[in-house]
Amino acid sequence: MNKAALKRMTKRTEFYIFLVLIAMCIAIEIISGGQLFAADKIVTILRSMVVDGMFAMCCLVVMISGGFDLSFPAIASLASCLSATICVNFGFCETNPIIGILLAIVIGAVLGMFNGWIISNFKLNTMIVTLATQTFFTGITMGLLQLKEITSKLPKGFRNMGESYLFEVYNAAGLRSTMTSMFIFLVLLCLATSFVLKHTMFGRGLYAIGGNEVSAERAGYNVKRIKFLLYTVVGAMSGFIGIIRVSMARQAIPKALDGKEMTIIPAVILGGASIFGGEGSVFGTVCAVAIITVVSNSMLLLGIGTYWQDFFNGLVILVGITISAVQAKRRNG
Amino acid sequence: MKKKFAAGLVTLAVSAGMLACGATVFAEEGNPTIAFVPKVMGQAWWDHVEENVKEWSEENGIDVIYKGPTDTDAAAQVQIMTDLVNQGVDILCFSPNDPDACEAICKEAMDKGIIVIATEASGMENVNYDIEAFDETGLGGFLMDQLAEQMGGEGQYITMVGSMTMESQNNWADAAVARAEEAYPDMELVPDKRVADDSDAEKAYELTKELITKYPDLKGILGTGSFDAPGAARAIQELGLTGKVFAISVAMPLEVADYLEDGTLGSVALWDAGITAKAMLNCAVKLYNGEEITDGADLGEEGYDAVAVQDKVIVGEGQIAITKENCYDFGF
Repeated sequence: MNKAALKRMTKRTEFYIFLVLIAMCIAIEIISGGQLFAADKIVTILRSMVVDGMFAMCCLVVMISGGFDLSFPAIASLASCLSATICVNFGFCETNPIIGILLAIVIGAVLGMFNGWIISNFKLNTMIVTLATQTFFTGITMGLLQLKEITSKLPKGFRNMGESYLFEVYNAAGLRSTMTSMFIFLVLLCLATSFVLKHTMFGRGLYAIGGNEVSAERAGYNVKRIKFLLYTVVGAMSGFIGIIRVSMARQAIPKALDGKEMTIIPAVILGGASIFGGEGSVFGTVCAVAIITVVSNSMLLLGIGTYWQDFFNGLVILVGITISAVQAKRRNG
Repeated sequence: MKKKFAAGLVTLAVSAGMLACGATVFAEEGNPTIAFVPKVMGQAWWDHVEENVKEWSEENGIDVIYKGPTDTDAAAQVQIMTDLVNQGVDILCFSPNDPDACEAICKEAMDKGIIVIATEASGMENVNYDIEAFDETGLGGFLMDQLAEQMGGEGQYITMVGSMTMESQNNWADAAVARAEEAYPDMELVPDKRVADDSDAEKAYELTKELITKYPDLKGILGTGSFDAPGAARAIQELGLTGKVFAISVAMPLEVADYLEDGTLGSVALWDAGITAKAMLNCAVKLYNGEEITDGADLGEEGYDAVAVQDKVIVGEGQIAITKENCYDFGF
């Protein structure tokens, strides 16, 4: 590797996030007496990353476009719980979950379209709009539709999908852990997001809009259409993620995802996405989600009591954001 | 697809509307007007209570208005209670989201001569009686006795709750630990003592795996929240530790039925809030008819046939063990 390439690399935020992740893993490995780098532990952490990682991809593309989406957990809850409720009532998905998945995607897309319509037509602050629609969607879930918790009645198709696994690993004591098949969806979504961002007009449009909306418009991007499409796709994905979460947890709980945006958004910022838009990468985001997941899955191993977990979660985010900010300053100055 | 979606929406909206309309019923001659206000509508737990209240209503030929907030919202609940008191009901049964917030309206109700019966509100002042299915020591001890039996009375264990701020769940866990200290000297609480799963079965699953990594000799998980045992059981099953690691908590029978059947879980604990509701209604009608409730009184339901009465709190023995034999008996 020549000097110029090295210099380019050290200017990228993702590089530092990646270093933080590696350093942290090594530290945890040492402190916990070698309990992190075990096949079963890694499988469990990857499993925990599925839902958060997919949400982070949604959050990332919105943030690159200079927007904020606070409503994705509410969309995921409404779409997945409504889909599951319909499936229970009509006896769908007893063997194959495909109808339920499609339903959740369609419902999610409709809700996302609502976001996109307001944001692209009225040019309002996206954080305010999605804060309002978050409450509105939760209101539909809890008040209008009065969706109920579904646990034991969850159609078998969902459960079977959630239980399916790619391979199994055994730890030193012979205990089995399974690698959930749902991990494939995370990989596919990350690859797709990366492709769209790097190689499509739509993706370049997102960076352009996030960089400077007026310039993007002048450069010939149809800003209104891109934004509408963006929120619709993010809505559809949120619905899909919701139903994946339902399948993995084997229960549809309308409130299970409440407040999820408060861990996902900081993770995406930690991963190098700029809160002002125009910046952010899939690799950095995946590293940041890994950091958050590894930390929250190692609290017990590190002997950090439950009361202190929020404190440490916050601290990790704070450190990460500081690194990002310093990095951005160096680049600009 | 969209048609079905629309049909589902319409069905749900119409049924919500019917629920709202059904709330205003008029009492027949001679019977008291009774209102029952649950913590929340639309949760399986309270749906079961609603079914039992309806059953009681049909058995006794007395109408009961069953109406509660759509969210566990204290203010909305107080508003509903205020409306019912102003409507002039004779009996008000309820389970408060925030007992303190209900004191004012309950005082107003009692001043009007309305009989007020609460549940899960043992500190309330302005009630005729508060009926509890069990006392905290009772449930905690009950959980520990079950777990200890499965563990053979010895080994490491830990407690699990929904969150460290949930008062009742933590009190049950404390009582369980106290019971172990008193009755099972060979059971050892591991240094982490208590973990919280944010009332999420997925988190309970992750925690269980982490606990077993950290404590390879862990033999028991005593949960008090209804998400603890289902999550823990999934981990135990995956790890292949069935019969070596045991978990128990309060849980909904059907949710854990598979685990009870395949032996991953030996039993879970529950109380039947539907029976408690019936006991509340029986108690209220007795008071309405001028009877007195004294220590050892019979409220006409299983577990409430000889209740302990102390001041304004009536305590039954409502806790039940759910095993593979009876897990399908409840419908939830």
